Amino acid sequence: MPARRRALFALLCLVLLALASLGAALMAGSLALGPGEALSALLGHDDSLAGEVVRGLRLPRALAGFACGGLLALAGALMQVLLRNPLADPYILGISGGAGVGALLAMLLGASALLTSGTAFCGAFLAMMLVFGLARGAGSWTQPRLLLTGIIVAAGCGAAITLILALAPERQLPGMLFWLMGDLSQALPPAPDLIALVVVLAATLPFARELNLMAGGMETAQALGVAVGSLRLAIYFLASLATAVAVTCAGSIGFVGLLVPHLTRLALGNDQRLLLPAATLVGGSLLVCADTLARTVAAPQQLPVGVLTALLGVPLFLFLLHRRPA
Amino acid sequence: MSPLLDVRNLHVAIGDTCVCRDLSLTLEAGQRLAILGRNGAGKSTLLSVLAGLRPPLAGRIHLRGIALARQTPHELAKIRGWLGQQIGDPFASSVLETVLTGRHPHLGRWDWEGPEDLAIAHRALAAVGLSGFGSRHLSRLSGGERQRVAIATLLTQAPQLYLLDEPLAHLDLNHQIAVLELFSTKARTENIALALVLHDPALAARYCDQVLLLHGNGDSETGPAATMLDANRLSRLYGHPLTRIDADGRTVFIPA
Repeated sequence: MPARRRALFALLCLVLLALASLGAALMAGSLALGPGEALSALLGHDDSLAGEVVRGLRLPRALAGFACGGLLALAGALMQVLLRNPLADPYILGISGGAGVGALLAMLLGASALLTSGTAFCGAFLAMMLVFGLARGAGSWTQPRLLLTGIIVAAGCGAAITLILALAPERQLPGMLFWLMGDLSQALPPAPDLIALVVVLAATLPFARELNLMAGGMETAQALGVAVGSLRLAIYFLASLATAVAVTCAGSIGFVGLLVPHLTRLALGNDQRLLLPAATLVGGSLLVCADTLARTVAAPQQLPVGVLTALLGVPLFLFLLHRRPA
Repeated sequence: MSPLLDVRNLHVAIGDTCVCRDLSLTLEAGQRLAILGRNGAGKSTLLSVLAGLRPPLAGRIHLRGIALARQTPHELAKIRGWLGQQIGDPFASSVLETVLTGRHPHLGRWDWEGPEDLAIAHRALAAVGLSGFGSRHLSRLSGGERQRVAIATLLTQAPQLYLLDEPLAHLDLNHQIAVLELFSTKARTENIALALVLHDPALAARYCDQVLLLHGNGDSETGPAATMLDANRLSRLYGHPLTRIDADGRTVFIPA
Protein backbone atom coordinates (compact mmCIF):
# COMPACT_ATOMS: atom_id res chain seq x y z
CA MET A 1 0.00 0.00 0.00
CA PRO A 2 1.76 3.14 -1.13
CA ALA A 3 1.56 5.84 1.45
CA ARG A 4 0.51 9.24 0.18
CA ARG A 5 4.06 10.58 0.40
CA ARG A 6 5.51 7.70 -1.64
CA ALA A 7 2.81 8.25 -4.27
CA LEU A 8 3.60 11.96 -4.52
CA PHE A 9 7.30 11.22 -4.87
CA ALA A 10 6.64 8.72 -7.68
CA LEU A 11 4.42 11.24 -9.46
CA LEU A 12 7.07 13.95 -9.12
CA CYS A 13 9.62 11.66 -10.79
CA LEU A 14 7.16 10.94 -13.60
CA VAL A 15 6.49 14.67 -14.12
CA LEU A 16 10.26 15.14 -14.57
CA LEU A 17 10.27 12.22 -17.04
CA ALA A 18 7.44 13.86 -18.99
CA LEU A 19 9.29 17.20 -19.11
CA ALA A 20 12.43 15.42 -20.28
CA SER A 21 10.54 13.66 -23.08
CA LEU A 22 8.99 16.96 -24.20
CA GLY A 23 12.40 18.61 -24.10
CA ALA A 24 13.91 15.88 -26.25
CA ALA A 25 11.05 16.26 -28.74
CA LEU A 26 11.79 19.99 -29.04
CA MET A 27 15.52 19.41 -29.62
CA ALA A 28 15.55 16.44 -32.00
CA GLY A 29 14.94 16.62 -35.73
CA SER A 30 16.58 17.62 -39.00
CA LEU A 31 17.41 20.93 -37.33
CA ALA A 32 19.10 19.62 -34.19
CA LEU A 33 19.18 22.06 -31.26
CA GLY A 34 20.97 22.07 -27.92
CA PRO A 35 18.97 22.45 -24.68
CA GLY A 36 19.82 26.16 -24.41
CA GLU A 37 18.91 26.90 -28.03
CA ALA A 38 15.66 24.98 -27.75
CA LEU A 39 14.72 26.84 -24.57
CA SER A 40 15.42 30.26 -26.02
CA ALA A 41 13.53 29.33 -29.19
CA LEU A 42 10.63 28.13 -27.07
CA LEU A 43 10.54 31.32 -25.00
CA GLY A 44 10.46 33.40 -28.17
CA HIS A 45 13.88 35.07 -27.81
CA ASP A 46 14.64 33.81 -31.26
CA ASP A 47 12.82 34.89 -34.39
CA SER A 48 15.03 32.81 -36.63
CA LEU A 49 14.17 29.51 -38.25
CA ALA A 50 14.77 27.68 -34.96
CA GLY A 51 12.03 29.68 -33.24
CA GLU A 52 9.56 28.91 -35.98
CA VAL A 53 10.40 25.22 -36.04
CA VAL A 54 10.19 24.81 -32.25
CA ARG A 55 7.10 26.93 -31.59
CA GLY A 56 5.26 26.30 -34.84
CA LEU A 57 5.97 22.62 -35.52
CA ARG A 58 7.61 20.67 -32.72
CA LEU A 59 5.78 22.06 -29.68
CA PRO A 60 2.21 21.51 -30.98
CA ARG A 61 3.12 18.05 -32.19
CA ALA A 62 4.83 17.10 -28.91
CA LEU A 63 1.88 18.40 -26.87
CA ALA A 64 -0.60 16.55 -29.10
CA GLY A 65 1.44 13.39 -28.67
CA PHE A 66 1.60 13.82 -24.90
CA ALA A 67 -2.14 14.45 -24.66
CA CYS A 68 -3.02 11.46 -26.89
CA GLY A 69 -0.68 9.12 -25.05
CA GLY A 70 -2.00 10.27 -21.69
CA LEU A 71 -5.63 9.94 -22.79
CA LEU A 72 -5.09 6.44 -24.18
CA ALA A 73 -3.23 5.19 -21.11
CA LEU A 74 -5.86 6.68 -18.79
CA ALA A 75 -8.70 5.24 -20.86
CA GLY A 76 -6.97 1.85 -20.85
CA ALA A 77 -6.55 1.84 -17.07
CA LEU A 78 -10.21 2.81 -16.63
CA MET A 79 -11.44 0.14 -19.08
CA GLN A 80 -9.42 -2.53 -17.26
CA VAL A 81 -11.16 -1.66 -14.01
CA LEU A 82 -14.59 -1.26 -15.62
CA LEU A 83 -14.43 -4.65 -17.36
CA ARG A 84 -12.35 -6.25 -14.57
CA ASN A 85 -10.22 -7.64 -17.33
CA PRO A 86 -6.47 -7.13 -17.58
CA LEU A 87 -6.61 -7.54 -21.36
CA ALA A 88 -9.02 -4.64 -21.88
CA ASP A 89 -7.74 -1.59 -23.76
CA PRO A 90 -9.36 1.66 -24.97
CA TYR A 91 -10.25 0.11 -28.33
CA ILE A 92 -11.82 -3.10 -27.05
CA LEU A 93 -15.36 -1.71 -27.09
CA GLY A 94 -15.27 -0.61 -30.71
CA ILE A 95 -14.65 3.11 -30.25
CA SER A 96 -11.59 3.21 -32.48
CA GLY A 97 -13.40 1.03 -35.02
CA GLY A 98 -16.27 3.52 -35.16
CA ALA A 99 -13.82 6.41 -35.52
CA GLY A 100 -11.98 4.51 -38.26
CA VAL A 101 -15.15 3.98 -40.28
CA GLY A 102 -16.02 7.68 -39.90
CA ALA A 103 -12.57 8.92 -40.86
CA LEU A 104 -12.12 6.57 -43.84
CA LEU A 105 -15.57 7.37 -45.22
CA ALA A 106 -14.71 11.07 -45.12
CA MET A 107 -11.35 10.42 -46.81
CA LEU A 108 -13.07 8.31 -49.49
CA LEU A 109 -15.34 11.26 -50.26
CA GLY A 110 -12.32 13.56 -50.39
CA ALA A 111 -13.08 15.60 -47.29
CA SER A 112 -10.58 17.98 -45.65
CA ALA A 113 -8.49 16.98 -42.62
CA LEU A 114 -10.74 18.95 -40.27
CA LEU A 115 -13.89 17.30 -41.61
CA THR A 116 -12.21 13.90 -41.39
CA SER A 117 -11.55 14.50 -37.71
CA GLY A 118 -15.17 15.56 -37.26
CA THR A 119 -16.55 12.38 -38.83
CA ALA A 120 -14.02 10.29 -36.87
CA PHE A 121 -15.35 11.75 -33.63
CA CYS A 122 -18.95 11.18 -34.77
CA GLY A 123 -18.10 7.56 -35.64
CA ALA A 124 -16.53 7.02 -32.22
CA PHE A 125 -19.55 8.58 -30.52
CA LEU A 126 -22.00 6.43 -32.51
CA ALA A 127 -20.06 3.26 -31.67
CA MET A 128 -20.05 4.23 -28.00
CA MET A 129 -23.83 4.81 -27.94
CA LEU A 130 -24.49 1.64 -29.95
CA VAL A 131 -22.46 -0.55 -27.59
CA PHE A 132 -24.00 1.14 -24.57
CA GLY A 133 -27.56 0.73 -25.86
CA LEU A 134 -27.13 -2.89 -26.93
CA ALA A 135 -25.23 -3.97 -23.83
CA ARG A 136 -27.81 -2.41 -21.57
CA GLY A 137 -30.69 -4.09 -23.42
CA ALA A 138 -33.82 -4.37 -21.36
CA GLY A 139 -32.24 -4.74 -17.99
CA SER A 140 -28.93 -5.20 -16.29
CA TRP A 141 -25.51 -4.39 -17.62
CA THR A 142 -23.12 -7.20 -16.87
CA GLN A 143 -19.43 -7.11 -17.69
CA PRO A 144 -19.37 -10.15 -20.02
CA ARG A 145 -22.31 -8.73 -21.95
CA LEU A 146 -20.69 -5.31 -22.31
CA LEU A 147 -17.41 -6.90 -23.37
CA LEU A 148 -19.02 -9.21 -25.95
CA THR A 149 -21.17 -6.42 -27.39
CA GLY A 150 -18.12 -4.19 -27.71
CA ILE A 151 -16.02 -6.87 -29.36
CA ILE A 152 -18.77 -7.67 -31.87
CA VAL A 153 -19.28 -3.99 -32.75
CA ALA A 154 -15.50 -3.63 -33.12
CA ALA A 155 -15.45 -6.65 -35.44
CA GLY A 156 -18.25 -5.13 -37.52
CA CYS A 157 -16.34 -1.86 -37.80
CA GLY A 158 -13.24 -3.83 -38.81
CA ALA A 159 -15.16 -5.42 -41.68
CA ALA A 160 -16.49 -2.01 -42.79
CA ILE A 161 -12.93 -0.60 -42.73
CA THR A 162 -11.66 -3.46 -44.89
CA LEU A 163 -14.53 -2.86 -47.32
CA ILE A 164 -13.68 0.86 -47.60
CA LEU A 165 -10.01 0.02 -48.16
CA ALA A 166 -11.00 -2.40 -50.93
CA LEU A 167 -13.18 0.19 -52.63
CA ALA A 168 -10.85 3.18 -52.20
CA PRO A 169 -8.78 4.45 -55.17
CA GLU A 170 -5.13 3.58 -54.89
CA ARG A 171 -3.83 7.12 -54.34
CA GLN A 172 -5.94 7.43 -51.15
CA LEU A 173 -4.68 4.21 -49.58
CA PRO A 174 -1.46 5.54 -47.94
CA GLY A 175 -3.35 8.30 -46.09
CA MET A 176 -5.96 5.81 -44.91
CA LEU A 177 -3.38 3.30 -43.73
CA PHE A 178 -1.45 6.00 -41.88
CA TRP A 179 -4.64 7.05 -40.13
CA LEU A 180 -5.41 3.45 -39.14
CA MET A 181 -1.91 2.88 -37.77
CA GLY A 182 -1.90 6.15 -35.88
CA ASP A 183 0.02 9.20 -36.99
CA LEU A 184 0.79 12.51 -35.34
CA SER A 185 2.07 14.37 -38.43
CA GLN A 186 -1.47 15.39 -39.35
CA ALA A 187 -2.46 16.12 -35.74
CA LEU A 188 -4.77 19.04 -35.10
CA PRO A 189 -3.92 21.78 -32.57
CA PRO A 190 -3.42 20.08 -29.17
CA ALA A 191 -5.68 22.32 -27.07
CA PRO A 192 -8.84 20.10 -27.16
CA ASP A 193 -6.82 17.01 -26.26
CA LEU A 194 -5.04 18.71 -23.37
CA ILE A 195 -8.35 20.01 -22.06
CA ALA A 196 -9.93 16.54 -22.37
CA LEU A 197 -6.96 15.03 -20.54
CA VAL A 198 -7.29 17.43 -17.62
CA VAL A 199 -11.09 17.04 -17.48
CA VAL A 200 -11.08 13.22 -17.51
CA LEU A 201 -8.27 12.98 -14.96
CA ALA A 202 -9.88 15.55 -12.67
CA ALA A 203 -13.24 13.77 -12.92
CA THR A 204 -11.88 10.30 -12.13
CA LEU A 205 -9.23 11.01 -9.48
CA PRO A 206 -11.73 11.81 -6.69
CA PHE A 207 -13.23 8.34 -7.24
CA ALA A 208 -9.93 6.45 -7.38
CA ARG A 209 -10.47 4.62 -4.09
CA GLU A 210 -13.95 3.56 -5.26
CA LEU A 211 -12.31 2.22 -8.41
CA ASN A 212 -9.95 0.15 -6.28
CA LEU A 213 -12.99 -1.50 -4.73
CA MET A 214 -14.69 -1.98 -8.11
CA ALA A 215 -11.64 -3.84 -9.39
CA GLY A 216 -12.27 -6.38 -6.62
CA GLY A 217 -15.90 -7.03 -7.62
CA MET A 218 -19.06 -5.01 -8.19
CA GLU A 219 -21.15 -6.44 -5.35
CA THR A 220 -18.36 -6.23 -2.78
CA ALA A 221 -17.75 -2.63 -3.83
CA GLN A 222 -21.44 -1.82 -3.46
CA ALA A 223 -21.53 -3.45 -0.03
CA LEU A 224 -18.59 -1.26 0.99
CA GLY A 225 -20.49 1.89 0.06
CA VAL A 226 -19.72 2.52 -3.63
CA ALA A 227 -22.62 3.73 -5.78
CA VAL A 228 -21.62 1.17 -8.39
CA GLY A 229 -24.38 1.81 -10.93
CA SER A 230 -23.74 5.50 -11.48
CA LEU A 231 -19.97 5.23 -11.08
CA ARG A 232 -19.52 2.65 -13.82
CA LEU A 233 -21.76 4.62 -16.19
CA ALA A 234 -19.59 7.67 -15.57
CA ILE A 235 -16.40 5.66 -16.07
CA TYR A 236 -17.72 4.15 -19.30
CA PHE A 237 -18.49 7.58 -20.75
CA LEU A 238 -15.30 9.24 -19.52
CA ALA A 239 -13.06 6.45 -20.82
CA SER A 240 -14.94 6.45 -24.13
CA LEU A 241 -14.66 10.22 -24.42
CA ALA A 242 -10.92 10.09 -23.73
CA THR A 243 -10.50 7.41 -26.40
CA ALA A 244 -12.64 9.27 -28.93
CA VAL A 245 -10.69 12.52 -28.48
CA ALA A 246 -7.32 10.75 -28.77
CA VAL A 247 -8.34 8.75 -31.84
CA THR A 248 -9.81 11.83 -33.50
CA CYS A 249 -6.49 13.64 -33.04
CA ALA A 250 -4.03 10.99 -34.15
CA GLY A 251 -5.79 7.88 -35.45
CA SER A 252 -5.76 4.56 -33.61
CA ILE A 253 -2.31 4.43 -32.09
CA GLY A 254 -1.88 0.92 -30.77
CA PHE A 255 -0.62 -0.58 -27.54
CA VAL A 256 -0.23 2.57 -25.44
CA GLY A 257 -3.63 1.97 -23.87
CA LEU A 258 -2.94 -1.69 -23.12
CA LEU A 259 0.72 -1.67 -22.28
CA VAL A 260 1.16 1.49 -20.19
CA PRO A 261 -1.36 0.60 -17.46
CA HIS A 262 0.32 -2.81 -17.10
CA LEU A 263 3.83 -1.37 -17.00
CA THR A 264 2.76 1.18 -14.40
CA ARG A 265 0.94 -1.47 -12.38
CA LEU A 266 4.01 -3.71 -12.33
CA ALA A 267 6.20 -0.85 -11.15
CA LEU A 268 3.89 0.94 -8.71
CA GLY A 269 1.08 -1.45 -7.74
CA ASN A 270 -2.63 -1.43 -8.46
CA ASP A 271 -3.78 1.45 -6.26
CA GLN A 272 -5.81 3.58 -8.70
CA ARG A 273 -5.05 6.74 -6.71
CA LEU A 274 -1.47 6.42 -7.92
CA LEU A 275 -2.03 4.29 -11.04
CA LEU A 276 -4.35 6.70 -12.89
CA PRO A 277 -2.13 9.82 -12.79
CA ALA A 278 1.05 7.75 -13.15
CA ALA A 279 -0.23 5.86 -16.22
CA THR A 280 -1.30 9.19 -17.74
CA LEU A 281 2.21 10.62 -17.35
CA VAL A 282 3.92 7.45 -18.56
CA GLY A 283 1.59 7.14 -21.55
CA GLY A 284 2.17 10.76 -22.54
CA SER A 285 5.95 10.48 -22.19
CA LEU A 286 6.08 7.19 -24.07
CA LEU A 287 4.13 8.50 -27.04
CA VAL A 288 6.23 11.69 -27.21
CA CYS A 289 9.41 9.56 -27.27
CA ALA A 290 7.95 7.15 -29.86
CA ASP A 291 6.88 10.04 -32.08
CA THR A 292 10.29 11.71 -31.82
CA LEU A 293 11.80 8.41 -32.96
CA ALA A 294 9.19 8.05 -35.69
CA ARG A 295 10.15 11.34 -37.31
CA THR A 296 13.92 11.08 -36.86
CA VAL A 297 14.86 7.40 -37.28
CA ALA A 298 14.30 7.21 -41.04
CA ALA A 299 14.34 10.99 -41.79
CA PRO A 300 13.32 12.55 -44.08
CA GLN A 301 10.82 9.68 -44.26
CA GLN A 302 8.29 9.82 -41.36
CA LEU A 303 7.07 6.55 -39.91
CA PRO A 304 3.56 6.27 -38.44
CA VAL A 305 3.99 6.44 -34.68
CA GLY A 306 1.47 3.62 -34.16
CA VAL A 307 3.89 1.22 -35.81
CA LEU A 308 6.65 2.19 -33.40
CA THR A 309 4.47 1.85 -30.29
CA ALA A 310 3.37 -1.58 -31.51
CA LEU A 311 6.92 -2.63 -32.38
CA LEU A 312 8.07 -1.59 -28.91
CA GLY A 313 4.89 -2.81 -27.26
CA VAL A 314 4.45 -6.33 -28.59
CA PRO A 315 7.75 -7.83 -27.35
CA LEU A 316 7.59 -5.94 -24.07
CA PHE A 317 4.05 -7.13 -23.42
CA LEU A 318 4.85 -10.74 -24.30
CA PHE A 319 7.82 -10.55 -21.95
CA LEU A 320 5.70 -9.22 -19.10
CA LEU A 321 3.00 -11.82 -19.70
CA HIS A 322 5.56 -14.60 -19.75
CA ARG A 323 7.29 -13.36 -16.59
CA ARG A 324 4.09 -13.00 -14.65
CA PRO A 325 3.48 -15.81 -12.12
CA ALA A 326 0.44 -17.92 -12.97
CA MET B 1 -35.39 2.01 20.24
CA SER B 2 -36.09 0.40 16.87
CA PRO B 3 -34.56 -3.00 16.10
CA LEU B 4 -31.35 -3.21 14.07
CA LEU B 5 -33.06 -5.04 11.22
CA ASP B 6 -36.82 -5.00 10.69
CA VAL B 7 -38.34 -6.87 7.74
CA ARG B 8 -42.07 -6.71 6.95
CA ASN B 9 -44.00 -8.68 4.31
CA LEU B 10 -40.96 -9.19 2.15
CA HIS B 11 -41.45 -10.75 -1.28
CA VAL B 12 -38.33 -11.85 -3.15
CA ALA B 13 -38.04 -13.76 -6.44
CA ILE B 14 -35.29 -14.72 -8.90
CA GLY B 15 -36.77 -14.99 -12.36
CA ASP B 16 -39.84 -17.21 -11.96
CA THR B 17 -38.68 -18.78 -8.70
CA CYS B 18 -40.24 -17.38 -5.56
CA VAL B 19 -37.71 -17.18 -2.71
CA CYS B 20 -40.07 -15.93 -0.04
CA ARG B 21 -43.45 -14.26 0.26
CA ASP B 22 -44.73 -12.32 3.23
CA LEU B 23 -41.54 -12.86 5.16
CA SER B 24 -41.36 -10.84 8.38
CA LEU B 25 -38.58 -10.92 10.92
CA THR B 26 -36.69 -8.67 13.30
CA LEU B 27 -33.12 -8.87 14.45
CA GLU B 28 -32.04 -7.06 17.61
CA ALA B 29 -28.48 -6.18 18.55
CA GLY B 30 -26.76 -9.28 19.90
CA GLN B 31 -29.01 -11.76 18.05
CA ARG B 32 -27.73 -14.43 15.68
CA LEU B 33 -29.93 -15.69 12.83
CA ALA B 34 -29.14 -18.81 10.80
CA ILE B 35 -30.64 -19.14 7.31
CA LEU B 36 -31.10 -22.76 6.17
CA GLY B 37 -32.46 -24.22 2.97
CA ARG B 38 -31.64 -26.45 0.03
CA ASN B 39 -29.33 -25.45 -2.81
CA GLY B 40 -31.08 -22.95 -5.03
CA ALA B 41 -33.71 -22.07 -2.42
CA GLY B 42 -32.58 -18.44 -2.63
CA LYS B 43 -30.58 -18.03 0.58
CA SER B 44 -27.92 -15.87 -1.08
CA THR B 45 -30.50 -13.84 -2.97
CA LEU B 46 -32.42 -13.12 0.22
CA LEU B 47 -29.22 -12.10 1.98
CA SER B 48 -28.24 -9.67 -0.78
CA VAL B 49 -31.75 -8.18 -0.66
CA LEU B 50 -31.35 -7.69 3.10
CA ALA B 51 -27.98 -6.04 2.39
CA GLY B 52 -29.62 -3.62 -0.06
CA LEU B 53 -27.65 -4.93 -3.02
CA ARG B 54 -30.81 -5.78 -4.98
CA PRO B 55 -34.38 -4.59 -4.55
CA PRO B 56 -37.20 -6.85 -3.29
CA LEU B 57 -40.41 -7.30 -5.31
CA ALA B 58 -42.45 -6.00 -2.41
CA GLY B 59 -42.27 -5.39 1.31
CA ARG B 60 -40.10 -3.14 3.40
CA ILE B 61 -36.75 -3.44 5.12
CA HIS B 62 -35.74 -1.03 7.86
CA LEU B 63 -32.24 -0.72 9.22
CA ARG B 64 -32.17 0.98 12.63
CA GLY B 65 -35.61 2.42 11.92
CA ILE B 66 -34.76 3.93 8.52
CA ALA B 67 -35.93 2.40 5.24
CA LEU B 68 -33.07 0.67 3.43
CA ALA B 69 -33.90 2.30 0.09
CA ARG B 70 -33.60 5.76 1.63
CA GLN B 71 -29.98 5.32 2.72
CA THR B 72 -27.01 5.91 0.43
CA PRO B 73 -24.55 3.02 -0.17
CA HIS B 74 -22.04 4.97 1.91
CA GLU B 75 -24.38 5.29 4.91
CA LEU B 76 -25.39 1.63 4.62
CA ALA B 77 -21.76 0.51 4.59
CA LYS B 78 -21.24 1.96 8.06
CA ILE B 79 -24.12 -0.07 9.48
CA ARG B 80 -24.17 -3.40 7.66
CA GLY B 81 -21.43 -5.57 6.23
CA TRP B 82 -21.93 -8.27 3.61
CA LEU B 83 -19.77 -11.29 2.91
CA GLY B 84 -20.39 -12.68 -0.56
CA GLN B 85 -19.37 -15.94 -2.15
CA GLN B 86 -15.88 -15.83 -3.57
CA ILE B 87 -15.13 -14.44 -6.99
CA GLY B 88 -11.65 -14.20 -8.48
CA ASP B 89 -9.62 -11.00 -8.47
CA PRO B 90 -8.15 -10.38 -11.95
CA PHE B 91 -5.51 -8.01 -10.58
CA ALA B 92 -3.12 -9.30 -7.98
CA SER B 93 -3.45 -7.26 -4.82
CA SER B 94 -1.82 -7.96 -1.49
CA VAL B 95 -3.66 -9.27 1.55
CA LEU B 96 -3.15 -6.02 3.48
CA GLU B 97 -4.43 -3.88 0.57
CA THR B 98 -7.52 -6.05 0.35
CA VAL B 99 -8.23 -5.96 4.07
CA LEU B 100 -7.76 -2.17 4.15
CA THR B 101 -10.57 -1.75 1.61
CA GLY B 102 -12.88 -2.39 4.56
CA ARG B 103 -11.97 1.07 5.88
CA HIS B 104 -13.47 2.74 2.80
CA PRO B 105 -16.79 3.80 4.40
CA HIS B 106 -14.91 5.42 7.28
CA LEU B 107 -12.58 7.55 5.14
CA GLY B 108 -13.25 10.93 3.56
CA ARG B 109 -12.95 11.40 -0.21
CA TRP B 110 -9.32 12.53 -0.18
CA ASP B 111 -8.18 10.56 2.89
CA TRP B 112 -5.58 7.83 2.66
CA GLU B 113 -5.47 4.99 5.14
CA GLY B 114 -3.60 6.14 8.25
CA PRO B 115 -1.77 4.32 11.07
CA GLU B 116 -5.07 3.72 12.91
CA ASP B 117 -6.58 2.01 9.88
CA LEU B 118 -3.45 -0.10 9.54
CA ALA B 119 -3.70 -1.12 13.19
CA ILE B 120 -7.36 -2.11 12.70
CA ALA B 121 -6.44 -4.16 9.62
CA HIS B 122 -3.63 -5.96 11.44
CA ARG B 123 -5.94 -6.76 14.36
CA ALA B 124 -8.51 -8.17 11.91
CA LEU B 125 -5.86 -10.35 10.26
CA ALA B 126 -4.76 -11.61 13.65
CA ALA B 127 -8.37 -12.41 14.55
CA VAL B 128 -8.68 -14.81 11.60
CA GLY B 129 -5.24 -16.32 12.17
CA LEU B 130 -3.49 -14.59 9.28
CA SER B 131 -0.93 -12.46 11.14
CA GLY B 132 2.12 -11.98 8.99
CA PHE B 133 0.20 -12.61 5.73
CA GLY B 134 -0.11 -8.88 4.97
CA SER B 135 2.37 -8.68 2.12
CA ARG B 136 1.34 -12.00 0.51
CA HIS B 137 -0.50 -11.81 -2.78
CA LEU B 138 -4.09 -12.94 -2.91
CA SER B 139 -3.43 -15.15 -5.93
CA ARG B 140 -0.95 -17.16 -3.87
CA LEU B 141 -3.44 -18.05 -1.12
CA SER B 142 -5.56 -21.17 -0.79
CA GLY B 143 -9.36 -20.95 -1.01
CA GLY B 144 -9.73 -21.16 2.76
CA GLU B 145 -7.12 -18.45 3.35
CA ARG B 146 -8.86 -16.18 0.85
CA GLN B 147 -12.15 -16.74 2.65
CA ARG B 148 -10.48 -15.65 5.90
CA VAL B 149 -9.08 -12.55 4.15
CA ALA B 150 -12.65 -11.68 3.14
CA ILE B 151 -13.79 -12.13 6.74
CA ALA B 152 -10.92 -9.93 7.97
CA THR B 153 -12.00 -7.25 5.47
CA LEU B 154 -15.48 -7.37 6.95
CA LEU B 155 -14.06 -7.05 10.49
CA THR B 156 -12.09 -4.00 9.32
CA GLN B 157 -15.33 -2.47 8.03
CA ALA B 158 -16.71 -2.86 11.58
CA PRO B 159 -20.47 -2.75 10.89
CA GLN B 160 -23.22 -3.46 13.44
CA LEU B 161 -25.08 -5.98 11.29
CA TYR B 162 -23.11 -8.78 9.64
CA LEU B 163 -24.76 -10.55 6.70
CA LEU B 164 -22.66 -13.62 5.92
CA ASP B 165 -23.27 -15.74 2.84
CA GLU B 166 -21.70 -19.15 3.52
CA PRO B 167 -18.97 -17.80 5.82
CA LEU B 168 -17.65 -21.34 6.32
CA ALA B 169 -17.08 -22.07 2.61
CA HIS B 170 -13.60 -23.54 1.96
CA LEU B 171 -12.78 -23.57 5.70
CA ASP B 172 -11.61 -26.70 7.46
CA LEU B 173 -13.18 -27.80 10.74
CA ASN B 174 -10.97 -25.90 13.16
CA HIS B 175 -11.38 -22.66 11.23
CA GLN B 176 -15.14 -23.16 10.92
CA ILE B 177 -15.43 -23.27 14.69
CA ALA B 178 -12.93 -20.43 15.14
CA VAL B 179 -14.91 -18.15 12.80
CA LEU B 180 -18.25 -18.95 14.45
CA GLU B 181 -16.69 -18.43 17.92
CA LEU B 182 -15.28 -15.10 16.73
CA PHE B 183 -18.66 -13.82 15.56
CA SER B 184 -20.67 -15.13 18.50
CA THR B 185 -18.18 -13.52 20.91
CA LYS B 186 -18.59 -10.25 19.01
CA ALA B 187 -22.37 -10.60 19.26
CA ARG B 188 -22.08 -11.00 23.03
CA THR B 189 -19.44 -8.39 23.80
CA GLU B 190 -19.94 -5.77 21.06
CA ASN B 191 -23.68 -6.15 20.55
CA ILE B 192 -23.48 -6.78 16.83
CA ALA B 193 -26.19 -8.77 15.07
CA LEU B 194 -25.55 -11.64 12.71
CA ALA B 195 -27.46 -13.30 9.86
CA LEU B 196 -25.64 -16.16 8.22
CA VAL B 197 -26.26 -18.85 5.64
CA LEU B 198 -25.25 -22.26 7.01
CA HIS B 199 -25.36 -25.80 5.68
CA ASP B 200 -25.05 -27.68 8.97
CA PRO B 201 -28.10 -27.50 11.28
CA ALA B 202 -25.87 -28.64 14.17
CA LEU B 203 -23.74 -25.49 13.86
CA ALA B 204 -26.93 -23.42 13.69
CA ALA B 205 -28.10 -25.08 16.90
CA ARG B 206 -24.80 -24.36 18.61
CA TYR B 207 -24.22 -20.76 17.54
CA CYS B 208 -27.56 -19.17 16.62
CA ASP B 209 -30.62 -18.18 18.62
CA GLN B 210 -32.92 -17.51 15.63
CA VAL B 211 -33.47 -19.67 12.55
CA LEU B 212 -35.06 -18.94 9.18
CA LEU B 213 -35.99 -21.93 7.02
CA LEU B 214 -36.42 -21.29 3.30
CA HIS B 215 -38.38 -24.13 1.69
CA GLY B 216 -37.61 -23.16 -1.88
CA ASN B 217 -41.23 -22.73 -2.98
CA GLY B 218 -41.78 -19.34 -1.38
CA ASP B 219 -42.73 -20.75 2.02
CA SER B 220 -40.56 -19.77 4.94
CA GLU B 221 -40.59 -20.26 8.70
CA THR B 222 -38.90 -18.11 11.32
CA GLY B 223 -38.54 -18.71 15.02
CA PRO B 224 -36.28 -19.47 17.95
CA ALA B 225 -33.59 -22.02 17.16
CA ALA B 226 -34.96 -24.49 19.73
CA THR B 227 -38.35 -24.80 17.93
CA MET B 228 -37.12 -24.53 14.35
CA LEU B 229 -34.31 -27.09 14.57
CA ASP B 230 -36.52 -30.12 14.93
CA ALA B 231 -35.85 -33.38 13.09
CA ASN B 232 -39.25 -33.46 11.33
CA ARG B 233 -39.05 -29.87 10.13
CA LEU B 234 -35.48 -30.28 8.88
CA SER B 235 -36.33 -33.58 7.15
CA ARG B 236 -39.06 -31.72 5.25
CA LEU B 237 -36.70 -28.80 4.52
CA TYR B 238 -33.99 -30.93 2.97
CA GLY B 239 -36.30 -33.60 1.52
CA HIS B 240 -34.27 -36.26 3.31
CA PRO B 241 -34.95 -37.99 6.64
CA LEU B 242 -32.76 -36.72 9.51
CA THR B 243 -32.30 -38.13 13.01
CA ARG B 244 -31.51 -35.89 15.95
CA ILE B 245 -28.83 -37.06 18.38
CA ASP B 246 -27.88 -35.31 21.62
CA ALA B 247 -24.41 -36.02 22.95
CA ASP B 248 -22.31 -34.15 25.54
CA GLY B 249 -24.83 -31.31 25.61
CA ARG B 250 -24.58 -30.75 21.83
CA THR B 251 -27.09 -31.54 19.14
CA VAL B 252 -26.28 -33.14 15.78
CA PHE B 253 -28.52 -34.19 12.91
CA ILE B 254 -27.57 -37.33 11.06
CA PRO B 255 -28.95 -38.04 7.58
CA ALA B 256 -30.55 -41.47 7.30
